[in-house]
Amino acid sequence: MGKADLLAILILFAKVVVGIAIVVLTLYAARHYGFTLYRLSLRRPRDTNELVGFLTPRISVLVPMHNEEGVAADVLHALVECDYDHDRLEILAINDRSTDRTGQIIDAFAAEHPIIKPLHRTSGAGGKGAALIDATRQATGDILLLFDADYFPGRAMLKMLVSPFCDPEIGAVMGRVIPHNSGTSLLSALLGLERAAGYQIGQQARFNLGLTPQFGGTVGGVRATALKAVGGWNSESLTEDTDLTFRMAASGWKIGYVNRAECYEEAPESWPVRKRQIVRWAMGHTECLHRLGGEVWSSRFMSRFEKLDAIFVLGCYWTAPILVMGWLASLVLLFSPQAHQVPIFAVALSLVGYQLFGSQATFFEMGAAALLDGKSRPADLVPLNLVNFFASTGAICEALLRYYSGRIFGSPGPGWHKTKRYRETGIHSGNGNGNGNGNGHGDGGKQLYIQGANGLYSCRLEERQQ
Amino acid sequence: MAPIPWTFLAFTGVVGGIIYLHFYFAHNRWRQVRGQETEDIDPSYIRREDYFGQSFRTKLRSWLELPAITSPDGARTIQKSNERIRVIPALRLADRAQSDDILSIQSDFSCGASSNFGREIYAAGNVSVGTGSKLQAVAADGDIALAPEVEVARWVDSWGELRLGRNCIIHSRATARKSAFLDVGVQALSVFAAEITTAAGAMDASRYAASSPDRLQIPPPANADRSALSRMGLDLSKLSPLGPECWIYAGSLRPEVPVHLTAQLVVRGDCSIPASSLLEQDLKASGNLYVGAGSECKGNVVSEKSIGLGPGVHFAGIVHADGEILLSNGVQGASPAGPVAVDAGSWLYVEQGVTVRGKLASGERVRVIAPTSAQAWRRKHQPAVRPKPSETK
Repeated sequence: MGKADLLAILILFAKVVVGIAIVVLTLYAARHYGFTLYRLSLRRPRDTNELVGFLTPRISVLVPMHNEEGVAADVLHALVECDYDHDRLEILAINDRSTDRTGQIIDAFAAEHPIIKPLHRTSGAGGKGAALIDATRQATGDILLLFDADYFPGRAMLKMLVSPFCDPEIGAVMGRVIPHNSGTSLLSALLGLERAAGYQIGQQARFNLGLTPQFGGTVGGVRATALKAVGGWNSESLTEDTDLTFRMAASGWKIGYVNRAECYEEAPESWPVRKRQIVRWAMGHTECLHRLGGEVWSSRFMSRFEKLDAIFVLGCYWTAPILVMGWLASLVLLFSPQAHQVPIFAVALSLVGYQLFGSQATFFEMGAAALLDGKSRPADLVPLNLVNFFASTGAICEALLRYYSGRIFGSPGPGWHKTKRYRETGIHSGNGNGNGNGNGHGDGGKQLYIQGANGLYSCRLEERQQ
Repeated sequence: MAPIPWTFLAFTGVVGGIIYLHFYFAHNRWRQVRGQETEDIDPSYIRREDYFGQSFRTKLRSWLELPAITSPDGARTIQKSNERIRVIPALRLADRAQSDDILSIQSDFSCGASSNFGREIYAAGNVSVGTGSKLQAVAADGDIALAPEVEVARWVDSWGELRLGRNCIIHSRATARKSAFLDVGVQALSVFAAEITTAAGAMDASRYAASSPDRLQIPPPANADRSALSRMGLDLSKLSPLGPECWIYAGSLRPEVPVHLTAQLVVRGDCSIPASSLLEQDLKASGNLYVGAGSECKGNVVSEKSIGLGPGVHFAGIVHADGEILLSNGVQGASPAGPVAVDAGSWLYVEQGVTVRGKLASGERVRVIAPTSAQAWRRKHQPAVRPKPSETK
C-alpha cells in the first residue's frame, strides 16, 4: 500500500467522521432549536400551581449529608420553616459517615424539632445512593422528597413539589435549581445561564410535550410505591438520579416538572470543582446509556418520540468526543489535496456550519431562558460561554476516555465524591455581625452571608420580617 | 510586487471587529454583574389564595400612615406621588359615579349602575356595586355583591360572602372567606371560597340511578371470569400493574356497567365511566375522561385532555385537566380532609346547581353556563359509548 493509498483511506475516514459529526450535531441542534421555539411559543406552560396546598399526603424529606457542618443547619432550618402540616411531615436527616460536626448539628435540631429524625450511618457503602437506600427503608411517607445539604428550600417548596402527584401516573417530580452564587465567579455565572436553559427551556418543554424531564436527585420527589416498583435506588450508579429517571420511564411512570418550585443551590465556582462534577455526570450518564438504553428502547410504555428523546438525553455526553473528532477530521480534509477539488464554499460551509449551528442552538436556548426569566443582563454573558463550552468538552472527553478504558481494561471509576461547598464558616463572612450561634438572631440584617451555622437562611428571613 | 489584497484585509478586519465586540460587550457585562447576589427567589413566599386582597390591605395600611389633608366632612386625602388615596367614613354613590382615586371606606360602600372606578376600593363593611359598573379591584371586610354585567379588571376579595350577578366578569381572582355565589354567565380566572355555589338548577337524581345491578371491579379479583369482564367492557390483556397500588390500561376504556375502582388506574386513551360508579382511588386518562352521572369520586380525577363530571357526581379530591373541564348540574365537591380543587388548563365550565368547597381555577376562565350549553359540551366531549355488538351488525 503506497503513501497515496494511505492518504486516500485517511481522507475517506475523515469524511465519514465529519459526516457523522454533522448528522449527530445537527440532530442535537435541531432538538435545542425545537425545544426553545416551542417553549417560547407556550402561552401557558403545563403546571399544577393552582393545586398547591390542596394535596397534602404524608411526606418524608430525605437530606443526605456527608461532612456538611457548614450548611447542615441552613437546610434543616429551612425545612422546619416550610408551611407543610407537621403532622404529615418527617425529615430524615442522614449523617452519612461524617467526620465533622454534621452529626451533632443534626442531633441538636432533632432534639428541638420532633419531625427531624436523625439517621447516623457509620458503616456500609458510601455515596448518596447508599445513604438514600438506608433512609428509604425508614421513611414512612407516601412521597419522598429529596434535598442536598447545600440547597435552601423556600417555605412553599414542599407543597409545590407534592402537587403534581395528584396524577397517579407521576412517579417522580423535579423542581428548578437556581445558583445563588452566580455573581461570585465567571464560571458560576455561566453555570447560572446553563441551568436556566436546562430547566426553563429543556425540562419545561419536555414536560409539556409529554416526554421525560429528568429527575435530578435533589429538589424533587419520588412516589414511594413507584420507587419500590422499579427496584429502589441504585447505589452502584454515579448518577442515581438519571438511573432512576429512565428506569421509571421504561416501566411506565411519568416524570413531572415544576418550574415554579425554585430552589437555591451552590454552583461550582472554580474550574477544577466543575471538572470533577462534569466527569462524574458524564461517566454516570454514559453508564446509564449502556445499561438502560436497550430497556428504554424496548419499553412498551413509552412512545417512539419519548424513546428517541430519552436516547438523546442519555447520549448527550457523546456529542463532545464526536465534536472533537469532527474538528480533527475537518483539519485533515482542509489540508488534503481533495479540499481544492470540490467547491471550496460547500466544504467551508459544511465544516464551519455544523459547529456554528450546534453551538448557536445551545446559546440560543440560554438567551431565551434568560429572557423568559426576565433577566436580560446575564443573557449578555452568553458569548463568554464559549469558555465553559471548551472546558466542558475537554472534561467530558477525558471522562468518556476513562469510562471506556475502565470498561475495556477493568480499571475502577472515579467513585462518588461530594461537590465542594463554598458556604462554609467564614468564607463569605464579610463584616456582618451575625452571632453565628445557630439561633438565627444575627443583627447584621442587610448582610446576606454571616458567620456561623444557619447564618444565610436565618438572616434572609429576618431581613424580610423587618 | 504583488498587489495588496484590500478586499481580503477589509473582510478580515470586519470579522475580527465583530468577534472582538462580541466578547467585549460580554466581558463588559460580566464586570457589571460580578459580585452581585442573585435575588430570584423569595424563600419566605407561601401561596395564599387571597394574596391580592391581603397584599392590598397591607399596603393600604402603610399608606394610611402618610400625612393627610382632612376635609370638613371628615374625609381625608393622602397624596402618594401621583396617586391619591381618599379615606371616607361611608360612601353611597348614585348611578354613573366615577373615581380615579384609591378609595378606603371605613364602613359600607355602594354605587349605582354604570359607575366607573379606575383604582382599587377597600371597604371595612359591605360593598354593593350597580349593574354594568367597571371596577379595578375591590376588597371588603364584609360581604360583596356585584349586580349583573359588572366587570372587574383585576381581583375581588371578600371576608364575608361574595355574590356575582349574571354575566359578571372578574379578570383575575375572586376570593371569599365564607361563600361565593356565581350566577349564570359569570366569568373569573379563579374562584376560591369555603363554599362556592352556582345558580340553582333542578336535578332529578333518580334519573341517574344505576341501570344494572352488576359492577365492574377494577382491578378485578384474581379468579374473575375473563369473558364476563370482556362483556362488561374490560379487556384484561390491556390491564397491567404499574406498581403495587397503581394499574395501567393500554387503550380506551368504556365499561358497560358501573365501575368500582379499588386501586389507582391510568388509562392510556379515552375513558368513559358509566353512571353510579364508585371510584375509591385516583383515576387518570391520557385522553378525554367522562365520569357518569351520580358517581362518587373519592380520589383524584386527572386527564391530559378534557374532563366531564356528569350530573350529580360527588368528588372529594382534585379534578385536574390540561384541557377543558365541565362540572354538570348537581356536582358536589367536598372533603372532610379540607378544601377540594378543580383546575382546568383551558376553560372550566360550571353548570347551574354546582357546589364546591374550595377552588375553581382555569388557564382561560371559569364560566358558569346554562344547561343547554352544558348539554352541547357533553355531546362534543363525552367519549362515545362503545357500540353494542347488535348495533355494529
